[in-house]
Parts: sequence; C-alpha cells; structure tokens
Amino acid sequence: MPVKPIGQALREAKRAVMQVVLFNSFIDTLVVFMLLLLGCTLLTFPRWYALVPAAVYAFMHTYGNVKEVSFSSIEAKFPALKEQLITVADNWKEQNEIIDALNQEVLQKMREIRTSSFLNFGKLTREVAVMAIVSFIIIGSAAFNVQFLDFKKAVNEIREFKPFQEYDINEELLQYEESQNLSEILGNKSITELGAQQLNLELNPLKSDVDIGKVNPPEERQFREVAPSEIKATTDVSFEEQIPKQYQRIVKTYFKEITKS
Amino acid sequence: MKIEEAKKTFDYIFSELNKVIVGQTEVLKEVSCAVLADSHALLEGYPGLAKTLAIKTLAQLLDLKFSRIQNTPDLMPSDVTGTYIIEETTAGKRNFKFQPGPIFANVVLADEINRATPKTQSAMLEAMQEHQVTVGNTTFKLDEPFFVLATQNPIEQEGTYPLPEAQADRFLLKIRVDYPTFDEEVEIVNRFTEDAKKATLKPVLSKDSLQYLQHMTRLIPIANDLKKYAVQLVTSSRQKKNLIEYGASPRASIGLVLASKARALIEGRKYVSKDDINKMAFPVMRHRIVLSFEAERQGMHADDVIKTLIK
Repeated sequence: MPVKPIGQALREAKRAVMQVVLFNSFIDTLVVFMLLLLGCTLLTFPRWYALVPAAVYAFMHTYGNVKEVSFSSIEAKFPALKEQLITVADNWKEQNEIIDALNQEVLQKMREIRTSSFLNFGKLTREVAVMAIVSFIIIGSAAFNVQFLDFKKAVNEIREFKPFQEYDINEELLQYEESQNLSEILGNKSITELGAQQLNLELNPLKSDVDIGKVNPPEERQFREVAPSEIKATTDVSFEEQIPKQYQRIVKTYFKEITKS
Repeated sequence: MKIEEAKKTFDYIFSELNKVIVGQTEVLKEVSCAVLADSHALLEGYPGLAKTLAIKTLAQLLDLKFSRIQNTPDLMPSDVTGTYIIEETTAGKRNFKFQPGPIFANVVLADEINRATPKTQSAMLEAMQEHQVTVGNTTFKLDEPFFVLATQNPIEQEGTYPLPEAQADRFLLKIRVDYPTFDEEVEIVNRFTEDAKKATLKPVLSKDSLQYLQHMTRLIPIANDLKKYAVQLVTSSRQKKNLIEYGASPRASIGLVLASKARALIEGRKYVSKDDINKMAFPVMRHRIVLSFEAERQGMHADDVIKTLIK
C-alpha cells in the first residue's frame, strides 16, 4: 500500500527537524570542546583531556535534543499548524472525509515550512563568534607560552607531599631489661670496639679542598668580666652541727692523720 | 456535507435563535453540543432566564417531533412513558392499546425536572440511557435521534426532589444559565414590551441532516495528547481529595471528548483543540463532582474547583 502524501510529508518534516537539531548539537559541542581545549592549554593539561568531557557532553546534549523532537515542537514554531499537526500525525492512517480534508489543509500549510526557520541565527552567530575568539586565544597562548599552572609540576608536588606523621616509637626500647639485647640502644658492639683501636688515617692535602697553609688570623673577641666584685668564704653550718660532739675529736684526728700521710 | 457547510448551518441556527433569545450565546452553543453528541442536557438557572424558551426555540429549528413534560410532584411515571388504555373496536370488541406518553418524541423538554418525584424521574432513566421504554412486559424503542433537555432552578428547594447523582450522570452537560448583561437586558425589554412582530422560525435541520451531523461529530479527529489531557482532567478530580469528595466517572471522560468534538464541529474546525476541552470541562464535570466539606467551607462552587483542575 503506497504511503499517503501526508505520511511522507510528516516523515520529511521530522527528518528535516532532526537534521537541524543534530547540526545545532554539533555546534554546541564544538563550542564546549573549544572552551575545554583552551582550559587544557592554559593549565598545561594534555590536550586530549578535552575530548572526554566534550564527548560526554555531545552524547547527553544530542540525546536530550533528539528526544525533544516532536510534532509539538514544530507546531510551536508554526502557530498556524497548532494542534493540527499532532492530530494529523496521530490519525493519518485513519480515513474519513474530515481527516482527509484536515490532511489536505495541513499539507498545504506544511509547504510554507522552511527548514531554516528551525535555526536560531542569533544563537548560531554568538556561538561562531565564541569559537573564533577562543581559537585566537588558544593560538596566542600557545605562541607566547601562557600558562596559569604547570600541571606536571603540580602533580609531582602533590605526589611528594607527605602529610604530618606521628613518631613511630618502639615502646619496647623504652623498657630496660637485663636480658635485653642492647645493641639497638648502644649500637653494634663490634663498632663500639673500634674506638679502642688505632686508626691509620692519612690526610692528603692534594686531595682535600682545605688549604692548610691558608689560615685566617684568630678572631678577636671581647669577653665581659663575669667575676663577682666581692668574694667571701663561709663555713658550712651542717658540717659542724651534724657531727655529734663525742665524735668531733675523732673526726679531727682522722683528718690530721690523713694530711700527714 | 463539509465542515464548512456544517459551520454555516450552525451560524444560521444561532442567528435564528438570536431572533428570539437575546445573548446566552454560550448556553445555545452548549445545548447544540449536547444535541450533536446525541445526548442530554440539563439547564440550570434562576427563573426568567429563558431556559425553556431557548429549548423550545431550538426544537422549532429542528424538524423533529417535540414534546414537553411539565414536571410536578403529582406527575406519575405513566404520564411520562405512556400507558395501556382500553380501546373499543367498531365491532364492539375491547382491546388494550398502548398510548405513548410525551417521552415518545425526538426532543423532550423536561421542564423543572427537580419538581417530579424520584419515581417519575427514574422512569426517564431508562429512556435516557437505553433509548427505550418498558411498560408492563413490552419494551418500546424510541425514535432516533432522542434527547432530553431538562431545566431546573437552583433556588426554591422546598417541595423539590434534587436529581440523584446516578440520574444527573445521564446528562452529558449541565449548562449554567447566567443573567444577561445590562445591554442584553435592555434589548430583552425592548423586544418584549413593544408591539414588535413575533419572529417566525422555520425548521433548518431535518432529522437526516441532524443524524449526519451527529455522525460527523464522531469523525472529528483528536490528537492522542489531547485525549490524554481530557482523561487526565477527569481523573484528577478523583485525586484532589481536599476539594472533591467524589470525582467524575469515566462517563465524564467519554462525554468530555465527545462534547469537545461537537464544539469543534460547531466552530468549523476539523480537529479538537485544547481550548475546546477546557471550555467543555465545566458543563461536563460540574454535576459529576461532589465537593468536600473543606471546599464548601471556603465558599467554592463546582466551577471554581474545575478551574483549579484545569490549572
């Protein structure tokens, strides 16, 4: 059964609107991609990083726009077709004198539809202008090596950054036990014994950066007198008083004998 | 007949009606919608607003059998449907013969329907719904087209029997007849107080033409979105529990789409618009919803509630 002219017209109208919607989505995606590319250039991100969010945006934006393509959206652009196009679209397979008359009327009005009327020229001009400006900025920033941030350096700094750590103290070391191996505290015993041995070290002045012959004169320093102005000796009270009287003679004799020897 | 011709016919009918009725354009349009939808209409308004005159005049323009039932509390069902009477033949033999009541007409004007007892009101139920009348053991088919155009006034509730919901639901539309505007009233006074020549009306629509227009009404296409919108409007009346105690039945959905199609035809359109649905939602739904106490407390009427549903 051949498709009715109204059926063909409806398909063509939908196809035309779909093409315009896809074109609009492509331009929108291009603008977003250019802005992302500019961001990557200024922040020294790898340029392909702009592709991923642009692709996600392209998918979501196009999906949303394509979903909205309906005869109601065409009617919104052409008030003369208001409620007629959706009625025809829902009933074009039916056949009666009223529907046929309505199909003819709608077909007549659809001839006046121009695909260009679905293009928003104002928006399109703005988007092209934005793309041109962003392109110049990208070229300029690349030529003059304008960078707001070195991405690689920032990543390395982040990697090297160590946050505050608590001291890792082995609690066992703080407790002393007779049987404990003290090498962890005092070091290797074999190394400590090195201290008793004679070291045969020879300084080769030729291999040293130090010029022994070139000795600077000693630095003169002024010392402040710290000695007290008055010195006085006193005996310790406790020395006398704490020795019981019966032992005082013995102590005195003891000290005399010592001095004699 | 084309849509354009149908519009011309209705324009002519309205111009003829305006020779008798001043204003009330919307009322006349809604009554015509009920006629085109092959259904019944209930006109409600205060006394003296030309409800009965409007129906009588419309009936004159249609080349159909017209009858009038003046409802009173002592009106019996048999007065409406008809009854068997004894008839004596020339040979002297007596036979029972069915004497049809006023319901056996194409256009029935049931004036002040709420004055009839519930028994008499329900006698009309079968006729309205089934387009048939059962008397005794015999069922009589009514002649097509058949529609009841009833009137009632909202005041003087004493000694009246308000239509039960089941019977009110049989009416496709409940048309509210409002007071005329000041200029219209001046025109009414001029027309009926001067010795002007009484307008003579000739039938415009034959039975066949009317039935064809009723057939055309059903052929008017409607977009699926608008059909869903109409159904949503009716179903939302069942969900708005704060304002509506009982919502409209699926019969209201059928009625709303059909009445919208009829309105589109009267206006000469080959499709139903959202505006048709919004306008017809009032007469289709106002007698099918029961307001809640809260809505009544707020002083709301059925039309106010329907307005909130349309929003």
